[in-house]
Amino acid sequence: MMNAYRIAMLAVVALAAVLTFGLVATAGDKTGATGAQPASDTAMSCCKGADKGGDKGDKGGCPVGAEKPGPKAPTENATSATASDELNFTLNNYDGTKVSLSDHADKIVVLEWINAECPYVVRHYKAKTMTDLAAKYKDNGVVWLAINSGKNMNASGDAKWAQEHQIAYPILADHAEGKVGKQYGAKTTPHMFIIQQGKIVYRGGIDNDPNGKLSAEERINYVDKALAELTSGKAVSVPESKPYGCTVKY
Amino acid sequence: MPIIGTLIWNYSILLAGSILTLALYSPATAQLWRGDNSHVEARLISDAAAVTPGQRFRVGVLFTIEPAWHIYWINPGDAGMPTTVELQAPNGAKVSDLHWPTPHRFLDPGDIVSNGYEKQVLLWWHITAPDSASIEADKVLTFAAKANWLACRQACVLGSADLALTVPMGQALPSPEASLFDQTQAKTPVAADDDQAPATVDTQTKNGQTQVTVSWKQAVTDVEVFAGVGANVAIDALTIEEGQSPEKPTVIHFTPRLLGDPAAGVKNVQFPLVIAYRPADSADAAGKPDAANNELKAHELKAEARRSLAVTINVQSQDSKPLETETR
Repeated sequence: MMNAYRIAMLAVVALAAVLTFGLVATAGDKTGATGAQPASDTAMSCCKGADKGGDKGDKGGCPVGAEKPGPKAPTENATSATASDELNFTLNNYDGTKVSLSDHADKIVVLEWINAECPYVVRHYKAKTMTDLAAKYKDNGVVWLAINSGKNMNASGDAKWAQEHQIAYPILADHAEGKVGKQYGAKTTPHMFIIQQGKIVYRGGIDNDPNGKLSAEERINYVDKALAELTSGKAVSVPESKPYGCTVKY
Repeated sequence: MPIIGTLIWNYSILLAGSILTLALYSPATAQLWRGDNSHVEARLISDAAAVTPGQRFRVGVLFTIEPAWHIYWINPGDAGMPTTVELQAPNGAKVSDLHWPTPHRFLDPGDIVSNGYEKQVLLWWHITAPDSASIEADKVLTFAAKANWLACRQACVLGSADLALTVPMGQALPSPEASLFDQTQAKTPVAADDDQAPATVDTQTKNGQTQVTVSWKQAVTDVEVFAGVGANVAIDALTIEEGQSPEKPTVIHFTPRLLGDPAAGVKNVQFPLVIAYRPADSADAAGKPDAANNELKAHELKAEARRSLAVTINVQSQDSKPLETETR
């Protein structure tokens, strides 16, 4: 009887652990279903980071992070050669092949900052937001490159993620120094950039739906919208939005 | 008894135990993280144990956060997600806007700056109890709240909670949590046009740049600025010329920009600009060397002495460009 009791108690502890971890693991879904969001945009989310400065250690000057980091969006007058140099990078895919932005100079390139441990990324990969969009524009001169700047992550983890989600595009390893992430001023996962002819033509979130709660009619996928405009020869109507998600784990 | 049945029964005992613990959770121990895997606990609390008809009191969601983790302000900064709370109040009760205590700033590698709260925060409302006519027969005010948050440390975990609270009608009686509300209210921004405001604030706009001049009524230190903007406004080139006394005002410059599709027709957005500070005399008190743990103590005293004021910034787009701003 005593043994049976002990076994039962051990099993209870094990079950409690499983249930607890299960709850954590499904927290993203849970919130997606039950999330509450104020009706007003003004009451929600955020800024471009420039309001964030304090006065720490920089009396009278521009506070930490007040200037937008990363390459400035090249102006109309900038030559594309100059802009390309500023934006160019070479990184290894998880399979070891080298990929440079300049390999795709004649294409529209989408950069997506990724982190398989971020619930926002997980939600979008479960919904196939990124993979479907990449496939949709694949034959229209659009190249999709995911970049992982997470310090504690590695190429084998990226390979696993790619296999798990049947990702057809590279996941580039920027793990060691996060050099490319910092070059672009990537702050969140996902953080999206679209580059055409050596210029950043879109930067920001994948859509206007941080919590994954909006209806299909309300949701605007900014990257889809921009790619549709670019591939039909139009200018991007929304060139910037507020990126959302986890911090890039530099 | 079948094993599975036993296990489920035992687990329900554990759950019931947790709920009981939560119910017994006293404000005195509120700062201690008691630990589970959710990283954040949320409770719906009131400063009143009982209220009279028409009485003004406070209700709030108290978040207790695991050490080293944080949740986010109305504007989370570069990353994160705003914490959201929605309150359902009984018929006839009046509910104020949600009050957010002054946030703290977190710096992560890669110049990632976010705004939020560690350890504990109370997001709260003023409530006016229904008058006698609309009080229901059971004479109990029932509140429900839904809270959503993103908790981050190295990793981020989404969380949510459905909360409930009942406040009996009767002779007015404060709750044990009244002092926590008082402490929190002291850390919540005072409107710049309030008589209690520690400064007068003048706001001007020129060529799309906003200048906010904060003329202090007292000497202050550790001035920080937080823009409570939504996803539709970017704040560029924010600078602080840090005057800290009645003789020398603090001057803040920034350039607000509307984001999104100009065709969507958003022409006017308001947001609170929160200016945090500490009275200079509190700095003296906090700075006095004391004992071995004085550094930690000084840090806590500094946090306790922190105050803020808020001014509403109005961003108007005139055919998208150039932006003009004014305050109300």
